[in-house]
Amino acid sequence: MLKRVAILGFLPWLLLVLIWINAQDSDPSAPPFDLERIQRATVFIMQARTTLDKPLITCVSSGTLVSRDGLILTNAHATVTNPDCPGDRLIIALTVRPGEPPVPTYQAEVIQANEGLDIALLRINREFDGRLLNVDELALPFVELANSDQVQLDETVWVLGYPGIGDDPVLIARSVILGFTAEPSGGAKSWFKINVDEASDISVISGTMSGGGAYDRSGRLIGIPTTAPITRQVAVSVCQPLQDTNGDSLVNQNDVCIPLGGSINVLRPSNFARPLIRSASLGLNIETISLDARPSTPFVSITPRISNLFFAPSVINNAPSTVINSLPTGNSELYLFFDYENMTSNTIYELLVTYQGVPSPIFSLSPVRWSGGQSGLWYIGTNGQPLPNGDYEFTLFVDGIAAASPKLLRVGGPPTNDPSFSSLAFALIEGNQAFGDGYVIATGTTATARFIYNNLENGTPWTAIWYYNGVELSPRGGGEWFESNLSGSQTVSIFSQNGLPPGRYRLALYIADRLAALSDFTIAGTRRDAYPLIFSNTGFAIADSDTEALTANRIDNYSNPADALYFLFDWSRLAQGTRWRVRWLVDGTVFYDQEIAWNGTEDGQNFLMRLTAPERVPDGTYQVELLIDNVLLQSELFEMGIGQLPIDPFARAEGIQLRGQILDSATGIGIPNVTFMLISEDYSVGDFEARQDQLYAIATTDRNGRFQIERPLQLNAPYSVLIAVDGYLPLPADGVEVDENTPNPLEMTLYLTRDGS
Amino acid sequence: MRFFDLLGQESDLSRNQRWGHYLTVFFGLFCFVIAINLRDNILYATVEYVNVEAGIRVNYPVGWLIDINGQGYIFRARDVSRIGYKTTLQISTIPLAVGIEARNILDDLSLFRSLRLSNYKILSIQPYTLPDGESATLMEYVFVSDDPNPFLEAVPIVVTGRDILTIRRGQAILITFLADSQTYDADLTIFNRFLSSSDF
Repeated sequence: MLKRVAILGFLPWLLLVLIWINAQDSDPSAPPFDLERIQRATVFIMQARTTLDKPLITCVSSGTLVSRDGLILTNAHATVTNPDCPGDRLIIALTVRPGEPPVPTYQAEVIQANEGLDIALLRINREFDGRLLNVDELALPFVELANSDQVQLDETVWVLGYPGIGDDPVLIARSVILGFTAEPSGGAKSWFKINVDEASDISVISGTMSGGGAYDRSGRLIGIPTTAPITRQVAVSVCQPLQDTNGDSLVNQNDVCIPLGGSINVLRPSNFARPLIRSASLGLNIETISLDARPSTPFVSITPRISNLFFAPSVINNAPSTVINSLPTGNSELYLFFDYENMTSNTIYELLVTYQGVPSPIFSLSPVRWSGGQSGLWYIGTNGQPLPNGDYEFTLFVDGIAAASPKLLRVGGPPTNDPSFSSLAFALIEGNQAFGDGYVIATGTTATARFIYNNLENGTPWTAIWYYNGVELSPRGGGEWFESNLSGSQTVSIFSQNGLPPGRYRLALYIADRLAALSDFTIAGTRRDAYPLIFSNTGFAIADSDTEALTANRIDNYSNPADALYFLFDWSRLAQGTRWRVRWLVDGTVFYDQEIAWNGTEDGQNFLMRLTAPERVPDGTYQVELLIDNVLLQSELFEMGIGQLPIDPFARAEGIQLRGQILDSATGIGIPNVTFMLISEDYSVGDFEARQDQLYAIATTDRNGRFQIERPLQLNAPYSVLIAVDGYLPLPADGVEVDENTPNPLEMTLYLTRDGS
Repeated sequence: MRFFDLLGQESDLSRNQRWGHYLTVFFGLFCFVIAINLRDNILYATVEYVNVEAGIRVNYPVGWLIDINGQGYIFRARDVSRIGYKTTLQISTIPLAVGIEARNILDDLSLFRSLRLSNYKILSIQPYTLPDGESATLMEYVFVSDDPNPFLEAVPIVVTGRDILTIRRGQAILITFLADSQTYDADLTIFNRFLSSSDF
């Protein structure tokens, strides 16, 4: 009995010890994916220029390989040459061995960039010594993109990048998604807010990790850590002199320095990079041919201006639902709206939020590039993270300088019964009928706005002010409020006997002197059913020249190879400065998305866009969408060839990495320059006829006999291996198969026996 | 001490025995020739490759890895069992414009290679006569070959190359041979056999 008690008493202790041992074995900060592959896919980028025959490094950042043939996703601010980061070449350094600093290996060029979104796509095109490279021979480790729309609050992510100016290995920072920042350019998930996890070895993510990658549990890229260093305000930036640039034999503050930036607390979601990657991988190039409708000449920067700051609890089609001065308890959404002028994609802006007088990294936005237009209405919103009760102060900085007085907001208490206006929507009135979709309406004589009012007592003074292209129109509407109900809906209109000219309009509603609601809308085109007819006669054409395209028939399919695909449309009543958006898709994936101010005449025909590719336009189903204010106005489809993109057999980054060493069985020494052939799953060694197309991958051993198959092995596919070397007995093997339990990377040691004959 | 006069010893072989000796020697020689032939057949065994579209028929060594879908060539065979640089036979076709000479093509080729190959250097350019009697141009060159995988410690190899350029049916045909410089001369016989057994 005593013995049984002793055994039963011992068992729980044994269980506890086993649990403890198990807990000791698993490192909580270790990522659950193939870390080494991602470390190797993380590159260090140096922007350099040659001055007086001496190369000079001007900027450094991190990047990530997103294709086997050398496409690198990174930030634009450190790679696209600009006054803060001049350069004539980009040097790419790779992590050859994990745990060691990167080794300069290649040169690259920028092939796609969106400076406002601060995303650039580079292509490795030269060896480090400047020799041109055959990119088809490259088989570099790369990562796949996740669908960043599916990222969840409190999700654990791993941020990889180079923390220093080149002497540090890749750093992995385990982080957590704190919330999402909304902007008009990308909607609710324009930025992911992150915070370094306590289990991580570091406390902050340094600025040079900008451009690197953030990964989810499956090892897919969900975002790009981003911050733009403010070099124009040296006092607040960190800048490291690296070389003796002035020739005084000293390296000090008098030399050109490399901006390092501060710390990073945001990720740019990877979905923003998809159009760039898609067009770059297919080599697609879109050009606007119509001379009178190209983007206007680059804006000559004068001092950016920010004004009219106000808060809204939610957003409707990029406009505030209403205007608030306080927020009740329990809200997790808040948007700071403001007007902006003279902004460019090189402008760096920042939002500093203090909560109870203490800076809050959760609600602040670190310095980032401006992704909007030159002027207009903008917002920065927070969503996903509940706002604790207390006093908040929001300060906007532009290029390191506070751009407007701080805006205060109190969060807490129950919902108030203050009078309010909300949910502005616009329509064209003709013959007592309303036409329009709410934010884009056709030209006519009367535009009306419908809005909701709440808790408005009769006699309350209110004002409606209309603006046209930023200029106030008279007379003002309003007066003393008089309605039978406290709450309901109401309209207010603007009339012009000569017709309302096309352009950008705004309606601001005030209760007493307080701004209560505000929204912008566009008038363009002529009335056609509910929607305005702005773009017409849209269609595709195949032609040998631009001139020929103007008279070619509009078609919706073409089966022969074509060098160029044209898209044409006519337009009417479209005012200069109206922001319009054109989006090209292939097989449902966007590869070109640009929103620019209209720079052409008000009416016209044959706006021409040309799609080309290095060889010919690839087969696929192409689609062009034309939008204004996020309203889809026209969409056209076109089938090229078989109507589907060719399958890329190298597109998969996931799988088991195979590498190993081939040794002489007698000496145990690695055999250099031996060819390792991995035969595809469709053939066995017996079927192999020494044809390249029968191979899944091929590799050659280095001086130590080490080899590496860069194309990952797919699970449960029976490969065959053949090593046939002069002087050794051949080594054939069929049925080489990996599954989910196979260690990744898979290390293989193979011994070859000398052929004694 | 006894002496034997071997030379003076009279033969007591019969005619059948003598013929037996002759036949044995003959059979030995015959087997030797067969063995040599078998060895050559094994060593120099070839496989035929025909590309009707390009109008070429070649015989390349058995066991070499062929690639007919590569960029820049219509046929390439590599000796992947070789330790070191994989000896390569390659055929490319180049379209011709009116007035283009063989020398123009070689210059263009050299320019292209000088941008991509490390230490590319032309050794010689000279007239050449193909086995079928047609005239051609021969260019020899060297460069340093490096493994494109940046994660391996591969030591570069000095490679010697030979291009033979001939113009047939309005297009230039470029036959290329690449080998490790240390084995180039020995491997040249493979190329010569390849050349003499091919139709362009």
